Amino acid sequence: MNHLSEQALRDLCTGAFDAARRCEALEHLAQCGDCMERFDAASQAALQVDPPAGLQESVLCKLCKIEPEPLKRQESFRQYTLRVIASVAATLILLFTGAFSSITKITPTEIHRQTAQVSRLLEMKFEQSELAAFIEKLSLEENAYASKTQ
Amino acid sequence: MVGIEPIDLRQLMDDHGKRVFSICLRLCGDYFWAEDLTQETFLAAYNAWDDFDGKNVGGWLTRIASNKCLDYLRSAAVRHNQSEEDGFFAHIPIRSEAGTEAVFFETQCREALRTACEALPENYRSVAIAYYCNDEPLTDYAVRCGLPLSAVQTRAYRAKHMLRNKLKEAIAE
Repeated sequence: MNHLSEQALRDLCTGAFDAARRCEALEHLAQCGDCMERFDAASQAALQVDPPAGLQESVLCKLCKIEPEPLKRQESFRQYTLRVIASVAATLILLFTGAFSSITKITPTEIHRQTAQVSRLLEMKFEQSELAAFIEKLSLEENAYASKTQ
Repeated sequence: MVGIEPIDLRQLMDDHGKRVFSICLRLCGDYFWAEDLTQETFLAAYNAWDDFDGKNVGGWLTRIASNKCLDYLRSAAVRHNQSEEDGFFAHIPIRSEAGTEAVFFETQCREALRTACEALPENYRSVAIAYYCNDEPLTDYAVRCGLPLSAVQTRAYRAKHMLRNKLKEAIAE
């Protein structure tokens, strides 16, 4: 292919060429330093489009393996801890409700109700103090049950 | 020459990122491939920095980007999929009214992107809109949603694949 005209370089930068012509032009550019230099100049004059804002970060991530900030990780660990405690509490509720109540039978409906209550607890972002009070209440009930059965 | 510190690469992308992306966009005609090829360009530059003679870094980046695009256009998959539509983003016309060119072009791209993103299934829609429409980096999105970065990157990668197909469908209609 002959050297690229100024118009051809502009067309390359504005998408006026179809894929085949683009390919041809690029093959020439790969071998011709002068045309490549002029293409570079044309690209600076042409209309530009912003890439996605996160592109830079994506490149840096690939090289430096950027992780989310440690502070945020601590917060999710706290939430994880709360969830674990709430799951344990859920098991205890099911156990004690069945053991304490001679009136309420352990039916599938009852278990479903208890589980729904516990699910709400798990969904809530409750304060540490509330959770502590709840666990303490459970401990008292556990002690009462233990002394009853002795 | 000394290898680029991450901070210098950031500067390089600040100075040349938009132009390199625009070159890739017009040469390959696909917004998402343009994103990938831009990333590959800067990664290649990072790896080849020791061989760079220090003159005209812009021209050097243009050369790398052009060769990346050539490889893309030559690849068998692209040849197989080439149709007369030939890349939505390659041919968005530029109106010649003074001052409104950039705005018109930018708006067209953004509208097409948003429409495609909103058609995705829930999890992918969320990350695609954050990344492509709301200018949110994946790291910020991961922190905001309390997800591991690797999971978000996987989701974004799959979303990109779906978006490519969505845009192809949009062109075919």
